[in-house]
Amino acid sequence: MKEFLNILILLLLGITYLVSFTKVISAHLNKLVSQRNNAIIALYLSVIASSGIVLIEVSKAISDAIMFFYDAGGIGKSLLFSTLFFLGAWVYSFAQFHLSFLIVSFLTKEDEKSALNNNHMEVALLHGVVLVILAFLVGPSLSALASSFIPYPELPF
Amino acid sequence: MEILSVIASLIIAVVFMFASYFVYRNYFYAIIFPLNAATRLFFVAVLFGSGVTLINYHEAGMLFMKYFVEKKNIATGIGIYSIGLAVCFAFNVLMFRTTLLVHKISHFENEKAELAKGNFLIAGTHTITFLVLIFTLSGPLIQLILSLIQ
Repeated sequence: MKEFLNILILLLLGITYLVSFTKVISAHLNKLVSQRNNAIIALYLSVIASSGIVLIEVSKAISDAIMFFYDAGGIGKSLLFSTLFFLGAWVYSFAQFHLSFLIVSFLTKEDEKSALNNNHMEVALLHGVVLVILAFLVGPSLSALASSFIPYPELPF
Repeated sequence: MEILSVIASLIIAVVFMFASYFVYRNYFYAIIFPLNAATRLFFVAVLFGSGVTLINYHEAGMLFMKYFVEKKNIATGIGIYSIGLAVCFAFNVLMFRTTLLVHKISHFENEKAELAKGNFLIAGTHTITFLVLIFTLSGPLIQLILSLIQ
């Protein structure tokens, strides 16, 4: 039963995460550029991929929380912790998206907004790589941080 | 014993991937034939995702199979393994359908028409969504299958 609940919660959270994130990022990028070109598509897909990597990592902590609180008899806490972890992953992914603009501005002297408008693929790919590497590096730490909030009983030795 | 394990793994992988190919092929060939680059990307990602679920299940499934073979109860081993494999296959199809559903909620374009036009934005979004769902849920799915077997 708890395994089934785990899959159901993760599926619902995953769908919500992907739908909401794609909508927000799409609206954000539409403000940034006047037309969809290859550079902006590459950046968009990189942003979604990096947020997906963060979700995959944090889902391990979400899964642990669901299993732990289910065994401890608190389905409410299972839902609460999984929702909080999910929100944390969402907020981090969004913050990472904004932070990556700052990092890319250090790496290249070009104005990114005009570069993306001019279909400058190098800048878009550089930005995409920065995002994906950040997600791969920070994702496991974020998952470990989330797991540290689960009140596991301390071992006597 | 190990040779049998290798042969069984090979047959399972080939059968599973062929079955996946034939199931998903219908969807993609209904969009456009021959496939363009965008549909090919999504098609390959779907097959890759299916393979990932199989890989995750196979390790634990083979341990069960070996256990039953050692108990001289091969039919039960094959039966249980096959049920797990069928669950994995159904899960992949469900995730594929969920990916299409996610697209319907988040985008307003006609996905089949856009894929036929070779829209990489749609193909890429589908690909990433499908792979994220598979990587997020295949671990818990294997836990579910193992708990059911136990």
